[in-house]
Amino acid sequence: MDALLKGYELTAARLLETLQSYGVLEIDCLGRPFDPRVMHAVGVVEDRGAPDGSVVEVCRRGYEWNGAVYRPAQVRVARRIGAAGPQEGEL
Amino acid sequence: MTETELVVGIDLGTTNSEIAAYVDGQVRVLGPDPKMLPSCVGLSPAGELLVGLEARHQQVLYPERTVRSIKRKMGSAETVALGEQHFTPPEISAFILRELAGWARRELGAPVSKAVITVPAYFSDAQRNATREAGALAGLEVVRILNEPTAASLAHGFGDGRRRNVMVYDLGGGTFDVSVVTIEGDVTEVLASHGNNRLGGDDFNDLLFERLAKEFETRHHVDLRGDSVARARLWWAAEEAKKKLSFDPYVRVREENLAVAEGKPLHLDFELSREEYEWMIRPLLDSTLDSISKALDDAGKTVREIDAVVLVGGSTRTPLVVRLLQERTGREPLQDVHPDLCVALGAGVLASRLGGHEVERVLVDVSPYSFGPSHMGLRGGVPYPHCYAPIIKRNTPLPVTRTERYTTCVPHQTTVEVDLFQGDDEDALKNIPIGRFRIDGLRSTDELNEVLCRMSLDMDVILHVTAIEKETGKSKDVTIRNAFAARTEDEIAAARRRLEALWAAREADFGFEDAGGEEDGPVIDVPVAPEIIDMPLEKLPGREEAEKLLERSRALLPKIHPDDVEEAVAIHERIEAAIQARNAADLEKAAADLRELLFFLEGK
Repeated sequence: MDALLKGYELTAARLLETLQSYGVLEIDCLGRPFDPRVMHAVGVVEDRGAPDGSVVEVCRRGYEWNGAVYRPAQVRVARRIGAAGPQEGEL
Repeated sequence: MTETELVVGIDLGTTNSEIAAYVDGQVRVLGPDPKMLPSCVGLSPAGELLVGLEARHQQVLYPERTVRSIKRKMGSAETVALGEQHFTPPEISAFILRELAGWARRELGAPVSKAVITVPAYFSDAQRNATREAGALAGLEVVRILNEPTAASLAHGFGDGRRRNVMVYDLGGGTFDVSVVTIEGDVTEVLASHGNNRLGGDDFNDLLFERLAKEFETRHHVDLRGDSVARARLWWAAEEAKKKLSFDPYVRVREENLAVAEGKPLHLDFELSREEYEWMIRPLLDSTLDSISKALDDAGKTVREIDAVVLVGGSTRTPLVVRLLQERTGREPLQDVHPDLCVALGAGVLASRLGGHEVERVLVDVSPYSFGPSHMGLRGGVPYPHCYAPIIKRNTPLPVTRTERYTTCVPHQTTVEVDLFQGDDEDALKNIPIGRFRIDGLRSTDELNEVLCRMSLDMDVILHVTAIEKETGKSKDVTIRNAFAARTEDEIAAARRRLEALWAAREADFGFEDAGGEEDGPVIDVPVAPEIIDMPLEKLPGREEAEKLLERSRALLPKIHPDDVEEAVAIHERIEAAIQARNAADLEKAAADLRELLFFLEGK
């Protein structure tokens, strides 16, 4: 079972390397300030531990391809309680 | 105005906005792909202005710093807040217009100062003035405010001087309206417009979302509707599924890690059929049909007086919309101009004219022919093996991929022959055969087996056809080059013979068990007309008259006996083939036949 898992991990790593060699890069989000250019906020978390406006979870990884956003990352972002205005619940 | 100057056309939409201009002899929509700017504006906490997708990305996080659908508030005294600052609706719209003007400037290499901006036909004076003001705030001189249905008619080339009644059916992301427009030369009149400015593709999304959430709840006993992140992800998945169902009979929705129960991640893996989706949205679409009746009544027109039905808005890609409209109006709705970009292109056509460039219509790459496989079915109540319905219909914009569903004829059938044709006749044998292939080794089942046929036609006029056994994914494909090559009757006969011979040889080769799936499939080179066609269309004698006859005859089609329709369509095809082949002699003969038929039909 472990060996099988290891095998998959190696394959996944190889795949990522290959993608990188073609200019595909994962967008680095976790812990960074929210950047609407490359990230799409799909949720808000009231988290006292994390700085306001920083990414606390990546729901779907985003990628850049040859310097342009191929698919934005879907992220959850920390907001201080009280900092949020009216939640209109629109997606 | 000077002889030629740069005027752009802008569709300032509720959900998306676009900009078009005259470039290299034609009207084109400008900007980075997909050339649509979400009509959304935001201010980041740092005070940075965000327009379009970037603003949409922050909507969930900073709803109090983001505004969408500002068009609904145009003309009202209301202001909207972005953080601590307040803006009027024209000011928000100005941000969108500026961004679009920037797209045009970057692409054309010249500053943009004059614009035609479109508005819904039902916009009041106050709303129109607010739109002008938005233009002025963005540094644009608004040389004309244009009604959206009129713009759509212009994009389809109905501004050519002849008098026509056009029905424009516009189903966007969040608004619906149907208008009846009379257009004659530069004079256009919107006779009536009806709709619902709270109905659109987003409602279809909501229904799909509910369906997915219910499915998840049934399977895992977890309600995702309470979790904002899962809800957002599922809504986007519903949007993707909706788009795919316009082209495929099934969609597979796969979303991983939507929820966690007892430490285990829960996933959604669900297949939805187009049939079920259409059943879900049917009541909404039925309400749009009521609006059609109202618009016709108000315009004082009957369906028969409508010369063309034009589709606008991304949601009209749903095949059910086309079907319902066809049933209601008796005409094939026109969708050859990109439905999302149609209004912008029409604004671009008027802008070009005002700027001193005469354009007849916008150029789009469409398939001039229909393509599809034959199938076993009923014809006149009797089983007939050569029934035919196109998968790719003519005038579909390219590139396009569409899939349809078929079943085997008998249980335990393991081989399917796929015969491919070009044409529109319900009888496949009256169309032009373009290829044939066979998929064997299908599973032997007690029930009928589903086989999907996928056809893709690209800009290089290469047709890819794939047959897929739905259950296993086993597939086989064929590539047909020169799918558009126009041929004369003799050439078609020769092609038929040649292909028959090839097929006979291939049949013999099929004796062994086919592995299927991985091989690239055969490439059929359909013979091309030997002479090089270089005569410009304008020089073809008799073309204009023939096209006028065609127009007259097409207008009659919904009103005449099916036998006459068959005869008329056959002549239409001869005329089109003759024009395509620049064959003046054939054209003259076909036009004479049509003139005779029209004399007979119009005299009735």
